[in-house]
Amino acid sequence: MNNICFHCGKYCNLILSFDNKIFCCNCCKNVYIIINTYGLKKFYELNNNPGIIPTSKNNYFDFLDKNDIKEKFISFDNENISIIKFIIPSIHCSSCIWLLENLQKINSNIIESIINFSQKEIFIYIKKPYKLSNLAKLLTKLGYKPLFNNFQLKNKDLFIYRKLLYKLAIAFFCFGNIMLLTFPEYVNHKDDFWFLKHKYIFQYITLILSLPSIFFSATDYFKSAFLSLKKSIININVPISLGILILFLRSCYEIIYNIGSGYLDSLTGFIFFLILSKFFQHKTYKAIYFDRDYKYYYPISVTKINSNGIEENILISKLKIGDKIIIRNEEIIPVDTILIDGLAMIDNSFITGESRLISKEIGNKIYAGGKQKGESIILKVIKEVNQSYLNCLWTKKSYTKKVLMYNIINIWARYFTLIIIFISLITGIYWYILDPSKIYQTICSVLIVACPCALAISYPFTLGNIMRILGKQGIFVKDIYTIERISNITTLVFDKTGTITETDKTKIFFIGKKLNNDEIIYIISLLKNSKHPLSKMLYEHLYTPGQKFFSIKFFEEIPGKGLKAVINGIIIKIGSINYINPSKIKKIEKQTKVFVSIGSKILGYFLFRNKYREGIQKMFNQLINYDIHILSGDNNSEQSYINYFLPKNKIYFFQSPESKLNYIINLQKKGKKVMMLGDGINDIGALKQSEVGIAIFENSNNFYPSCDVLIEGKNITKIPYILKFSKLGIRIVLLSFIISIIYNIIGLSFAINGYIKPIIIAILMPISSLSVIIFTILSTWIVNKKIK
Amino acid sequence: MDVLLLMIPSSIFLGVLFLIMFINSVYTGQFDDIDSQAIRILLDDK
Repeated sequence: MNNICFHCGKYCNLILSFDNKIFCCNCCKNVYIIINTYGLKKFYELNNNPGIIPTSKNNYFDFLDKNDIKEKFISFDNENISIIKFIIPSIHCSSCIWLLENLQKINSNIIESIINFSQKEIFIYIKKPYKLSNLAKLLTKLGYKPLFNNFQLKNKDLFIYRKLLYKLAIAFFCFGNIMLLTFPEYVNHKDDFWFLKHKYIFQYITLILSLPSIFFSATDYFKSAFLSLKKSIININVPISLGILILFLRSCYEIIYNIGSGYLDSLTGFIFFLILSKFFQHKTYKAIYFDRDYKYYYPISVTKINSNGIEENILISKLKIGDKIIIRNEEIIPVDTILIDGLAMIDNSFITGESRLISKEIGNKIYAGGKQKGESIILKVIKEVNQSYLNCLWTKKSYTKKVLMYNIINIWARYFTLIIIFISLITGIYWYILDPSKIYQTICSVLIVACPCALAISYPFTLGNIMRILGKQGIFVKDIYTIERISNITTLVFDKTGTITETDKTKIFFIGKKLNNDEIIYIISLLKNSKHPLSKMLYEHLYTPGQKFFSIKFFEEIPGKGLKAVINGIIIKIGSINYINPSKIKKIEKQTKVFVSIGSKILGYFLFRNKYREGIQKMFNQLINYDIHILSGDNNSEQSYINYFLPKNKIYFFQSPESKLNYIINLQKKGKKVMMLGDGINDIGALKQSEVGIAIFENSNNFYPSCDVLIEGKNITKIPYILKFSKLGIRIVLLSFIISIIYNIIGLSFAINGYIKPIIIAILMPISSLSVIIFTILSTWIVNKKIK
Repeated sequence: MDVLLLMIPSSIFLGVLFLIMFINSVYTGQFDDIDSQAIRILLDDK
């Protein structure tokens, strides 16, 4: 428990102790105090260090009390209570559930709260006059800041999930009952007079029971087969549907004409396994949306200044050209605007990939999507939301859709179907010569036995299992087809800012003579008085516990330039080079630099640089067999540094979203299979165009563009593992194809000889399916253990 | 053995009954979120 924060489990640089416990920051300590006061200490007993550091950023919730905004969060309302629905991304463990469901102990205005863990939703019942903004403040104080972005929940996924459950339940019901009723057929019943007399009852009941399984549970296969045949393509569902139909018709024929008992048990078992495999591949991450639009990135509302000077919160869709709006620290600018008042420091890293803050002067145009850092600014709207730059970028091109028509299973299915039709023709001709009365029977047997049951389920089971294993490690894959595409990748394209560098962390270097202790105290005393974001970052960088300060006089801060003050009779200046030394020729800086002078001497400057993620170099070394490119929207100030750990590779700077997209298209024209990794809107075209688009996200901002795979920033070093795992996964699929083909050959050798007994199919079918399921799940599990 | 002619329909009837109950519980959303229930059951009420 050395230096580990009791609340959040992070390593503490500066230690605050309270109640014999260690905390990393005041925020964490405050949460502990709240939890402790209300007797909710169990929060810490359920898990070790379960807490989340409450963000101090952007805690402005007054807009929630506006009626039209409030409505979006109220799911039920009467005169006494209302039920509020919030989405809280930071819910992650049983402690979270326990604490949030005991909110009524902290505030008596809350009656009850219920959490939906997989959707990360919380439903809170509150007594009527209690304000939503207060509720949001309470949640934020505890570290559970609700999401207030502009989006709506889809219910489509839920509907598909439920429908699949119905189908699975009905298929299982039919399968189980039919198996039970067919069982007497397989034991020696020839002597049982009663059974022989009543056999038809059993048979007709099984026939009726098989109907819902075929005409409800299996309908998707028929539909898909029909659609693909219409386009004259054979996909895997064609032989499946063919098998089901033949089995069913043959069984009907046998039962109605009292020839045999049919194969209904095998048929319904087959359908059950198929739906089970579908269920297995249907792993959805309910809290994650792979296809998002730009609206998600925007805040729900913005503060508008009316003509009479009164501030009012309005929905961003109601913004009109000419409106004046206020953007506070850490808020996102939702529309294209012109700066009217205030010091704008815009963080455009999501939009352009530029890593440094850009300062704007009054009258400058500011595009939508940037994030303000520092003081509040006043802006005038020049375009409506749905015409702004960000929106155009997002919706500009209709990219080629990533449908994998000829995936591995459909290629196999095509050959498989053709071979089966060929074999059945041969047997038909053979029996036509030998004994024409047996033609139908043998052709039926061949088609029945060749039904690609194990073939069809091996693909979803293998790749579905890989998806699950990856999901447990914070790598969220959209669907199983994405895994197959990953296995074909030859080329990797990385974005720089936010992808291989960390978004919220900057490394600060001092370039110049090493600062002595007194000089640091001078600098820090001056910085303490400034609210500029760079000053704050520098202050945090230099601050050590027990820091001494000098008293300062004549403090002056010139917006966009720097600070100065007199300490102990010496003038201290901190700011841009033009501010410190105006005589120098003006030149545009490529990097963020803050110069310091004490007296008349310039000591040097602080260089702000993005921190590269840990293990990045090791990762590039592991990817030696792949073609690696880096496309950065940033300037080339870091070229030499990237060259240092990525020699000989193709690195391009000053890339616009368009040129990134074109670069990917060019690679694809050369026949390369491209994986794009990016984090921002500037990568959106490239992410959509590439074979596999991987978005990197940080928990702290909870924004990511639409993608195929979603990875948390710290997991980016697992890319080699993902590539290797999916390659081996496809190999496992191929192996299980071979296994299922062997079963088919065994079955066929029975079938072409003439009559096939139902018992052979009844044994062969479940054995082949089960062995393939066990093989795929075990082998993916073992492979994962080995390459980890 | 004739009793089977009564037993088989009644067993199927029971099966159908449970199937309908299950479908109804899916319909009313009881299976939409399995994760939080799985965690919640381990927590004491007070």
